[in-house]
Amino acid sequence: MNKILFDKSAKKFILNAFDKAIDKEGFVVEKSDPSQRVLTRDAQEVEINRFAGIRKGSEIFIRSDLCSLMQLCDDLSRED
Amino acid sequence: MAWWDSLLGLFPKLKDFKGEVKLTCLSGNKTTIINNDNRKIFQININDTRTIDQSHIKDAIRKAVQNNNDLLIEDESEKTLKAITASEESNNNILNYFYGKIPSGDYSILRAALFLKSQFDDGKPVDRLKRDIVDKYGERGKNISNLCTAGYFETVIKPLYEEMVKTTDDPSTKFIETYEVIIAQYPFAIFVNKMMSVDELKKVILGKITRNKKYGINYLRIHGIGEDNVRKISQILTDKDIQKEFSALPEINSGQTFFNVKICFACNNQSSGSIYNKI
Repeated sequence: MNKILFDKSAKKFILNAFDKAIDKEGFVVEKSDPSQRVLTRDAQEVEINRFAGIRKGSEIFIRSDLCSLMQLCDDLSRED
Repeated sequence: MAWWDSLLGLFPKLKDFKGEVKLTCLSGNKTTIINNDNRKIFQININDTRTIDQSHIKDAIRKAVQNNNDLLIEDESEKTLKAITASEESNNNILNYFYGKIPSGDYSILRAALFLKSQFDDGKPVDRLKRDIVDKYGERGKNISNLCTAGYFETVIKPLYEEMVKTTDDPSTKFIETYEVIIAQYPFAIFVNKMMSVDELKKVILGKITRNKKYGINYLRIHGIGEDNVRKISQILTDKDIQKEFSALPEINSGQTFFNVKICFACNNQSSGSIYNKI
């Protein structure tokens, strides 16, 4: 597994690549259905300033809060 | 490696490159190789239209995630991820100790709190981390974080468990009973440490009683581990200045080397009158 990094300035570009947009309240939504906010695996909506990345499966959105990153750490350790 | 092959076509420089790739849109950032914290990073400015076909990059990163299972991650979060891994290694002992002894939900909070503590000890800002813990775990998360940052898991809760093992038939149950009180009542508790003299402890207790009364809180808990601290608390409870505050007899749960007590007092708008005056 490789890592592709991006900085804050590239967030919209990344989301665009995955057919996502940002609604008026700053949440990541499906471009094809802007009323549908994307969810993390623990059913949290993702604000643009908390968007930290994407993994496969179908699309796992990652938030930048500590608990989400700890969960990601666990997932990555299990896969190693 | 589809992502890499796609990039090689755009950037011949990447042919012998060993390092990470980072995407940016900042106008000041060029498409170039940079050295950052001993890491080589190939930085690609997506807005550099002279050399970048944006649709090609989008296609490549989609394939990298969906076909190759690569991780697409913001650089600041990636740094946090590395810091978490390092922190877990150094906190291995305390985490292993409490695994299975405290509720599994609290174990997750403890992991997060230990990371927060390590960042705090390194002089890094922790406000956002603390907020993250409270957002996810609420008041319990806040209390466990505060207990952890103050070192009480090592100095109070671990010795409490060991004391229960030595002195009771059912240490797990007895430990959890007191543990729950400590966690839930942390904001209302004083943890006696060996550096505190009896006079200092008296001053702290009277100060907290005054503070609590002001805000309508009519009790205070005191916890101590170790024979010296048990002696200090026992002595303090016989102090006349402390006793005159009591509105009821103290509720004591103690052993040779641990002492937990709840003292109740009248708040400022209630009628005062120490239980000891009525006897």
